[in-house]
Amino acid sequence: MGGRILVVEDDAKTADYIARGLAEAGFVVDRADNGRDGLFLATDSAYDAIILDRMMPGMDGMAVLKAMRAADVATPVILLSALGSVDDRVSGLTAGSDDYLVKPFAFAELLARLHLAIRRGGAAAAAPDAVLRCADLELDRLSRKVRRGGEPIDLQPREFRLLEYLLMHIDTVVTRTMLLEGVWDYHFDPGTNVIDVHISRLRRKIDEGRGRPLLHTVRGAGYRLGAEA
Amino acid sequence: MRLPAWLRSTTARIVLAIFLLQAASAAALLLALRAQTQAELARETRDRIVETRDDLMARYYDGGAADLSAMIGTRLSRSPDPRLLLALEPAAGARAGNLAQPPPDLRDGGWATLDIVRRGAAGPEAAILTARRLPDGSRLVVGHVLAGDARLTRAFEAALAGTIAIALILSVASALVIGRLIGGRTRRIARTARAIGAGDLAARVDRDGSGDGFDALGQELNAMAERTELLVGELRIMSDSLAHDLRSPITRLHAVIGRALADTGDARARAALAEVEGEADSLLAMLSTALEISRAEARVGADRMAPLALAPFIADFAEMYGPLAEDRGIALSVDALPVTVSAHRELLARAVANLIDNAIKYGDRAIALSVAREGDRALLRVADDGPGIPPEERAVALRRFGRLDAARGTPGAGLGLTLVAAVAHLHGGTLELGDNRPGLVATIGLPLG
Repeated sequence: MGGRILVVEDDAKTADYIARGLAEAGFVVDRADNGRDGLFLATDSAYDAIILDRMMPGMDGMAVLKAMRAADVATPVILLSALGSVDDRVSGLTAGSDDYLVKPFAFAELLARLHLAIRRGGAAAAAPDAVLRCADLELDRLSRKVRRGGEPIDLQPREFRLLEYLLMHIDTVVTRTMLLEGVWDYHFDPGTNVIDVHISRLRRKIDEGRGRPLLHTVRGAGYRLGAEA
Repeated sequence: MRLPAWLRSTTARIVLAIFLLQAASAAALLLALRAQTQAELARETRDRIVETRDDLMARYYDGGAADLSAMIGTRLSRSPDPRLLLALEPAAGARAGNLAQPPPDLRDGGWATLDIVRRGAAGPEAAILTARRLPDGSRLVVGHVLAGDARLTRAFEAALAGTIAIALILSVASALVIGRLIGGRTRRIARTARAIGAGDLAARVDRDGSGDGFDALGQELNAMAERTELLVGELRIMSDSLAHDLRSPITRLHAVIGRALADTGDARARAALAEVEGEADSLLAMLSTALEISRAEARVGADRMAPLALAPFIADFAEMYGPLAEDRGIALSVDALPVTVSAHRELLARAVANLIDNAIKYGDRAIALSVAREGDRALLRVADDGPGIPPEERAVALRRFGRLDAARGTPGAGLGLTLVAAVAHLHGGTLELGDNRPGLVATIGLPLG
């Protein structure tokens, strides 16, 4: 999955780190080291997503974001910030960012969220299907039934929502914090392996003894649901 | 010596002061009135005496001494005034009138106040007298007994008592009015102080600009709030820049480690790098938590409170942590009453997650989550059956970076309970650590409403 990404970040090392990782992941990357240039590039060219540092000298990320949204640039934006409190996150999201990532972050987390933002940006209008599928696994969102190979699987309500979230982000890496946000609607970093236990229970129900595994652990990043290993 | 509480009350002192002032002014008024009345009465008495004397003198010039003597008898027997004194004291011969003894020499036409004895009276009485020497050498004495004034004094005493009673009623009434005025004003100031204390740093006392004591108090309180708001603002800026300054190098550290991990195939180097990465992560977690505590203590986020139903909230956590607890062989139970508080959901979530993390770390077989109600507080409890914390070490456990000896071997920065306490305080609540016999019971007490 390729695409053009704009990285607006004043810290050269962090920008290098992001640009290099994104290039390896197959993206074309443009860079700006200040808010003014960033805003100029963002309004001038079409990007699939913008990674925007919140705290920059001169025009900061929030100002760039507000100016962009005021100029009707709807490109998905991920705000990067050293400000990690819940309130900062909320203010970032209210200002029109699609996601908010606290420094330092694992690159895998950024990549996962970037994929998510691009996908959401592309399919913003399309209503999600009533039946979600992955290989021979299907989940009916209306009747709330799950089958694999036609065989019904009994899931707890939370397991159902967990699987629904994974299916809606099929073939994309989702991190633990993304799961806590998307499935439980809490935004803290779970200290223990709370999420892992839920995943392993879900895996036992949908994968164990059912042939090809669909729910994969991505080392150092999170999880991915997909037909390919 | 300590005065009783009712006397220390400013309102009671004001009542007392008003009462004393009113009583004193009423008494002064009465005394002045009394003096004036007395003077008036005395003047009237003298006028009457002079009138009587002139009448009698006229009779003397018309009919002589004998006629005067008869007239004196008639006057005394017919007079409606029992205190009238009349006497004809001839140089020789029969005396007339109602004086037992002839009075001493009096200046002709002058006035004298002296004790006299009336004929048939038990003792001497004070009287005012005037005398006139007649051409035949006798003296005509006309006067008036002053005894009636004692009755006047008694009347005034009664009036004084009445006045004091009225003063008491008036002073209580005016004290109530004044107390209400003062109380209303001070309560408004107190309300603002409480709002500031509870985190609404923008709250200010309404001033009337009069410059009186209350206005001065309001001004000082406003100045204090202004300063506090400024300091909290500075703290926020400082903590934000501290976060930025410390987080950015760690981000770069992560980047370097990530690149090194990708570049090297050496197993020993990879293991070391993974360890460094882990340390960097825990350094960051500590930093984030410490900043979160500072911010909660500065009541940043106090403006983001919203009603939160605690029963479904705690049920979320039971559901979230249930599988993890079960895998560790710990039973997680929930007992929640439907209680709603005003809370910062995310911060409270972090606090509760911290408590449950601890309970799972130290607990043995059972963890009980509960929501109860006690008076005007909601109690959110996390109880485990682990080793607990001895009472003397509980204060240390709540201190920043305060790790107990028993916990030093396990990972963690010793910030967990401090964060919980800071979050509880942000909500105007408390964190209490107690004995679960065995184990620890952590109770977050939140004000209802």
